[in-house]
Amino acid sequence: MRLWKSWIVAKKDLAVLKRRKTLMASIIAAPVLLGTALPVLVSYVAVRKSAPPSFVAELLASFSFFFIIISALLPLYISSYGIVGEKVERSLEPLLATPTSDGEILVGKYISSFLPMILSIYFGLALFMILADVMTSHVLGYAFYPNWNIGIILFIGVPLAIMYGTSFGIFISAKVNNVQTAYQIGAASLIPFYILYIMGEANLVSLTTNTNLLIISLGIFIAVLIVYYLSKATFNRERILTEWK
Amino acid sequence: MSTIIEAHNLTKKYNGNTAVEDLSFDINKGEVFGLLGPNGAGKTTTIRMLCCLISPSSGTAKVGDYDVTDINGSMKIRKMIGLVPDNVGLYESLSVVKNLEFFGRMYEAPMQVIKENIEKYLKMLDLWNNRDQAVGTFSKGMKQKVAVVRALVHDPDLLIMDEPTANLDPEAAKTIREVILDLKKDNRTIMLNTHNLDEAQRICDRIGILKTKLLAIDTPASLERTMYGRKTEIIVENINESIVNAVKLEHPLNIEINGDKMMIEMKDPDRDTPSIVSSITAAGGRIKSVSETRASLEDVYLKLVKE
Repeated sequence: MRLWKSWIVAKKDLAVLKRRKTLMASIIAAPVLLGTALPVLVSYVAVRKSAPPSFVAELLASFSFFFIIISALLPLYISSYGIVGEKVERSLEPLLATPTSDGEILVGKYISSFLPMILSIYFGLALFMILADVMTSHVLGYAFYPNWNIGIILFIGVPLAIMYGTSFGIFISAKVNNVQTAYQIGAASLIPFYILYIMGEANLVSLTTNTNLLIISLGIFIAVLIVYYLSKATFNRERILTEWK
Repeated sequence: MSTIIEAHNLTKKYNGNTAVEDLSFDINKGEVFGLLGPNGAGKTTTIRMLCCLISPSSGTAKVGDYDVTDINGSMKIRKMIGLVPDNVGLYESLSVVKNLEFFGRMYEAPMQVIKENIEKYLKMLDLWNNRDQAVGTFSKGMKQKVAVVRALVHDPDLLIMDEPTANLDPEAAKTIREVILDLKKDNRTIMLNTHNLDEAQRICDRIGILKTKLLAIDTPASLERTMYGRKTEIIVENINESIVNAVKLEHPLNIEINGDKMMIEMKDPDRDTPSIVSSITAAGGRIKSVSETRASLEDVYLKLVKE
């Protein structure tokens, strides 16, 4: 595995991505929107509804789970475009004709999806933490962030969720011919995350304890391994050229 | 002369359907070799096997010193080849230079070589002034030219082109043909897939005709001579049975009569034509003209493909 080759693929994909203004806007806008809207909402509940500090803290912790959900959702757009875009432009054949392994190309696709996503999500999360502290510290009596909970989300949950979304996007792109269908099927793959969130809100499972967040992260890690294996099996040059339509 | 491609009994089957069967041929260094065949004849499959994009179901092929079925060798083979696929496959939102630099680096060529070749070939194909434009704004012919430059950007030993002039306007097709001829002068080895017979005849040193199996392989001139023979066309006023019988007596085989035209296939027209002319005259026929017709590559191709 020559990572420099993967990096060339990634750089090319990032250059193509830069020219897709709508895609870029959605990648940047969603975390920023979330990072701004959630603290405002918590602040509204805390001030206007005079919610107790413990409820405010619980609300902040559970809202931070949203960042795991969008970390799995948004890479689907980039990785789906990365493969479906190559299919549409018929550029996979000349790319595969170069002395590059399937794995090197695949890793390049991962990098080009992971890098902009992690930057964007981290920016959104930083905004969320800063605004949340500014808007709720007078209610709580202390700055809620940083804490271990957000540390697990930031350094384990988010990277794993991005890898999950990327893998699923690559896997599903092999089966479809347009980005919209890839998005739709990809979005369905996030149903377990939504169920988890609803269970959290219904107090069936706590999304705010460190242990549970680590268990959820382990679950995502296993899902990443499975989907990565499936996407690697799908991304085989002979199958790409003879079966991908 | 040393060979750059040696294929032995190459076979490719897809889900029980045979795309290429028992294909054996060599391509010499510095040669322009044309693979002709109808749609679905297995030309693209052959190219893909030689470029290590798909593996043969059976048989072997060597490109340079490396076997296409060997994983380590396949990387070296791909580095040796410049491929112009049947679809240009360029990144439409990127500029010409960005496309070419990307592929040059993927072929592991030094940046200096990439830059020199980009300038050299873009100037040759009259695209240098468009180098910073996005490929998506180009016409089909311009894109095809960029695809040709892409295949040359790493100075490959072997250039493989799959239908390089298909669907191009005559002017763009002519430019591509001229580039191929220029590369031929540089002693490059070129393998060309085409169903443009005129193009093959003009450019190729040798031709293989493929229809799942290899039907024939030789120089265009030899193919015309050996596969079809030479024919003499004699136009006679009021052909009747006695004239035909007189000709058949002199030359019993391969006579076609169409109106007042007699087409007679013969091995040595210089020797046989005078005696046939005498027979026709003796039988009372009035000869209007005598000419020799040579079969075209198209005649050979159609005869082989229909058989």
